Amino acid sequence: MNDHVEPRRQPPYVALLAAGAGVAATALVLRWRRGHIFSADTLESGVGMRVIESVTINRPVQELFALWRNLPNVTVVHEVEPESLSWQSPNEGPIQSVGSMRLTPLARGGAQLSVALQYRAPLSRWVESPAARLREDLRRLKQWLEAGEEPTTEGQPSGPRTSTFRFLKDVAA
Amino acid sequence: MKAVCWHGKHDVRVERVSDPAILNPRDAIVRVTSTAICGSDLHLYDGFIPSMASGDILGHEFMGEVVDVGRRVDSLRPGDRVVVPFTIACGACEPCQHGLSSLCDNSNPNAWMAEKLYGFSGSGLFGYSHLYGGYAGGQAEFVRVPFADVGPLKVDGLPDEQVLFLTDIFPTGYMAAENCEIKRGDVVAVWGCGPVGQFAIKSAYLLGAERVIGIDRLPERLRLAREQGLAETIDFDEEDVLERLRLLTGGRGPDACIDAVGLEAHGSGSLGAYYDNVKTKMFMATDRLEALRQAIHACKKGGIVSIPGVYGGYLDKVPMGAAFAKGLTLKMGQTHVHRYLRKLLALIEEGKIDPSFVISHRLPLDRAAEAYRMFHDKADACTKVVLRP
Repeated sequence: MNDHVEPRRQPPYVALLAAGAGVAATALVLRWRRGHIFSADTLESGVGMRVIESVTINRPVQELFALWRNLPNVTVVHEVEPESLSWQSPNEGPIQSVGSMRLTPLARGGAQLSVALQYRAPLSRWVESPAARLREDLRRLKQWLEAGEEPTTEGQPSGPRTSTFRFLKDVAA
Repeated sequence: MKAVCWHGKHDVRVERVSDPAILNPRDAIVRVTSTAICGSDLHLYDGFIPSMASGDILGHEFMGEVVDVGRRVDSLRPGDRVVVPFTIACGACEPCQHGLSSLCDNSNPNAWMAEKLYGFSGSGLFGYSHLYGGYAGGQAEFVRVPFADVGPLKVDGLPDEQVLFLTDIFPTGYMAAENCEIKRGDVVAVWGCGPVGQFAIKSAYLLGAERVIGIDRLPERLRLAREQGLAETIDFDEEDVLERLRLLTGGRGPDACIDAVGLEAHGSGSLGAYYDNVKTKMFMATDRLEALRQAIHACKKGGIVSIPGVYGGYLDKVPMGAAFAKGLTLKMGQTHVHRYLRKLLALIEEGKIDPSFVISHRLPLDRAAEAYRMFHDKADACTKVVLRP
């Protein structure tokens, strides 16, 4: 290392947004949170899952496109700068997926971002709803891009908690 | 540090908890010098607001001295004296940029929860349930303030008691009056002469109302509305509110009606109030809304009903037919505190208003449990309690 440029901290959403990739899709489906749960059998028996989500982000389309273009662990299949991008996961890994996103500039400012994911995941355990996961990932993306941080209360003080509360927090984490 | 913690219905305790720390780059830590109990804290105290958890630190009206700032907070430094809006807002999303800070997109860590209940999530709030973010509140010796580069307002020179209510109730009363779109000659009726109602009365006059009518049943509050607010008053235990309003307005009805009561209205022995009481007690309804029913019923044709009072759930027997038939406009919501701070501070500095007139009790933080009980019971003519950590 010959310079002291602070490595830009990569917000967690970047990994998750590369949801086409194995690692991210694993994160996408492995987590058990918030009651959106269903059996992995659903995934295995069907033709794969398809989820669509949309979010409005108060940033220019060019910036959003560039961010997406530089996601790690995906193979870009098709792109039309700065409005759309399709990708797929690498061939290795247990989870195969394809995804696409579209950016629409808004006259009110900012952009509408729509994401579609389709994938198969051979898992034999309880998993979280991919739709809810994608929605939270896009929310986090918006928070990082607009506010520059993710709102949190993790680590704040409280009075004594009940065992039920601690259990629910553990499950959520 | 010491903090006021919620442990269930009518159970708040002052407890030793760990000190707050900077968790995000835009955070600040404030040493609280004054904090107040809000009427909306009583909704938590009474167990009306869902998603509270045992151990939650209460309090959303507080001010104090900055003791630490995160690395992205350039506008504050340790030693600054600040008032902090009860709404937590990022300042960068579309609602924030349009002055709608209580609707911030990015400040509620539990947005998914609010989306399930309401479709979309408003901003996070201090000390006001996990639905609104689960943030620890400011009825404590110290508090963590997120997005401290856009929220807190520096105040110098004025005593705590004159600026503390910029955090919530003064802007809330002011926005309620502003929502009435007051024109010359307008008559404004205000249901509930608690602190928000008192500020709504004063604000309505500041915004040009010709007459303001305050409605309550507690003698001390009606007296305050008359003497401090210069309002005419109606005691709803003694008089028929609708009949009285018709007579006072020459049969027109008030041009605008403000519901500064919200979901725990007591009503006045009317059928509607009785119905709400039975249903909420049987867990078949979430809100008691007799004040709102009256406001809609009383309002003149084409008028505005402004609702600063808090509602939480699905309201039963809302006279929507009356609202429709009379072409009413309904305006409501949490207060966009950020956009009023400077304007209202200027009114205080110019001596046009001294918000400390609502304070009835001053107690140390240690006596918070007693203060909640007293405020809840309206004992000792309690109108507003300020706690000193």
